Amino acid sequence: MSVTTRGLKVAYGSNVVIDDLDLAVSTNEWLGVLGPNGSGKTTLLKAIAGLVGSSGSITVDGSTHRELGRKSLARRVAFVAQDPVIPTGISVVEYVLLGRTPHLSYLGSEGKDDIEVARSVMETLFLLPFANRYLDDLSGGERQRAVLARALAQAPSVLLLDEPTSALDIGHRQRALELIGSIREERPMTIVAAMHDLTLAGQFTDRLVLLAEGAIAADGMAVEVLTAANIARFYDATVEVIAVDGGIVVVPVRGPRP
Amino acid sequence: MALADASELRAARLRWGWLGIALGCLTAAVLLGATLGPASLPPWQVIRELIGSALFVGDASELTDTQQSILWQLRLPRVVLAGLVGGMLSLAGASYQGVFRNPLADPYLLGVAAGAGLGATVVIAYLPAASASLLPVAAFAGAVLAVLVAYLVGRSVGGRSSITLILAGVAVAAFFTAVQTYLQQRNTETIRQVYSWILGRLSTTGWSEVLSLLPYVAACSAVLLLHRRLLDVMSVGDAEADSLGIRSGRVRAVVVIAATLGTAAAVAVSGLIAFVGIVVPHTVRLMVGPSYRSLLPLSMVFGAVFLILSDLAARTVASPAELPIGVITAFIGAPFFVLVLRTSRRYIA
Repeated sequence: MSVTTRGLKVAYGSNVVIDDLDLAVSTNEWLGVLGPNGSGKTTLLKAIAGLVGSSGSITVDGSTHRELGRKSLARRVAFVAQDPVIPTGISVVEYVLLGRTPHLSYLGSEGKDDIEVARSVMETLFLLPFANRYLDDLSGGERQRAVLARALAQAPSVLLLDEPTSALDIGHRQRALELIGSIREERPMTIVAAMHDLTLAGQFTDRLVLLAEGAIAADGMAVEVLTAANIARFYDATVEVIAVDGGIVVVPVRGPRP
Repeated sequence: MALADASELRAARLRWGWLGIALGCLTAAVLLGATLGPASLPPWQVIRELIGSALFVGDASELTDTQQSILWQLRLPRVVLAGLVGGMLSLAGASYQGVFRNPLADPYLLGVAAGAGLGATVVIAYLPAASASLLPVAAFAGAVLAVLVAYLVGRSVGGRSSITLILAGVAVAAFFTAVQTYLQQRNTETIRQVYSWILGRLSTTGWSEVLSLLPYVAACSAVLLLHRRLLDVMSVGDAEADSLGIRSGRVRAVVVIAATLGTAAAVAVSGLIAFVGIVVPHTVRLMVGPSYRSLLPLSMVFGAVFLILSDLAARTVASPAELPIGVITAFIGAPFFVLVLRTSRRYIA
């Protein structure tokens, strides 16, 4: 499903976080959203998920949030928070099954089909061995996969990921992104992911947008967006961008010692 | 351990085995409560009488007329009232803990106790003649008013987030308590009566208290029990619960309204019985885990058991004098809770 915003504006009180933002994400595209801290990445994702009030328009496959309603929206769009609340004392499978909520009636509970969906998602994410373990007993990487599994259990067409790898080490980061890549082959979906690691963002996504102060500062392929000049200007960072086989690498460079 | 198929995967669900145990305990507690007292009734005859009346077989037991009226007009109304109050407070406490994701939440969190206390004090101090009939109404109204004010204040400052609501509750409770204390000081001759109301007591005149409380408990507990899966969903936080397609603010409002009305109705007939709403749900949580699908029904049944037994202790330990039930609930409940806490594998809060 495609996602489009037109003149999107989000403000917390008098603090305008997203201002007049036009963005189009095509069906089954993986869009990486970059930008320094406070540039509005999380707010953009939350606005698309319908979790913060906004003006302007957001459409998912041509329908606005209002037309869809919260429940239908949740069947189409899943959101993985950067720092998800991990409830204590519930098992991984119970947690993943919470992702079935938009497919249940208001007071309903999970049936066989829902358990089958959870099983299949957990298989894809290599979580079956942990199914009956407590969520809060898992390692960071396993927990991250469990949160992803809960989102996939929604059977979404659009997956919003807020810095999905920020709590992981470099190996787990790569594996998590590879996993997301392989999931797309099995279950095609549109991904909008706020990302911190510029090199990985360049390697894994189809397209990048760079946010600065709530507006799009650059939009395009990795080589077009991840330039030393852009990164210097918007991140206030000194980097070297090196072309390697099949992509580019962003390397921080230490400035002259004081 | 590799799981091969879906048959080994289970959703969180009501633990029927535990429910059976809970109902067994409830049956035992009702029988104990009905038979023990200043005039002990023969347990076997009580069982026959109860089964007989359940099956509409007249005079199935050999109880004397006096014993029958003790059973039907004194013991049973009191046991049933204790069960309703205990079940309601415990269920409301568990529900509050769920919607506020706060293990310290109890049914009095948003000012129910302070509001009911003020209502009761006003009646005791200024309308002593009508106090018997007006006191429950005033306590109920005060409790609902306090929570309503807390809710409106909370919304006006911070939307529907749970923390602003809790803080508004704290402010409103402090204000109502201040007014209540002031009124109490102005009318020192009523302190004793007010104090005894605050400590909580279960006294019955036939079935009238039970009948006035029953509809509230039935309606409120039905609403709360139906929301048990949604309380599990709420455990992932407001934003994520919203992203799963529910309206967390609305669910919280519905649960708070049901829990508040039920608590206010219970408090109106029983006074402020402390401890039940926080200790029983936590004990149940330690036994069966945190899923509200088991926690809510089991909290309700065990809350009823706990208060029936506490009331039994309150009226028999120092017989013929009667101890305030609030003292008993804390006196039995606190050590028991510590024991459960020590023996539990993991504390889930």
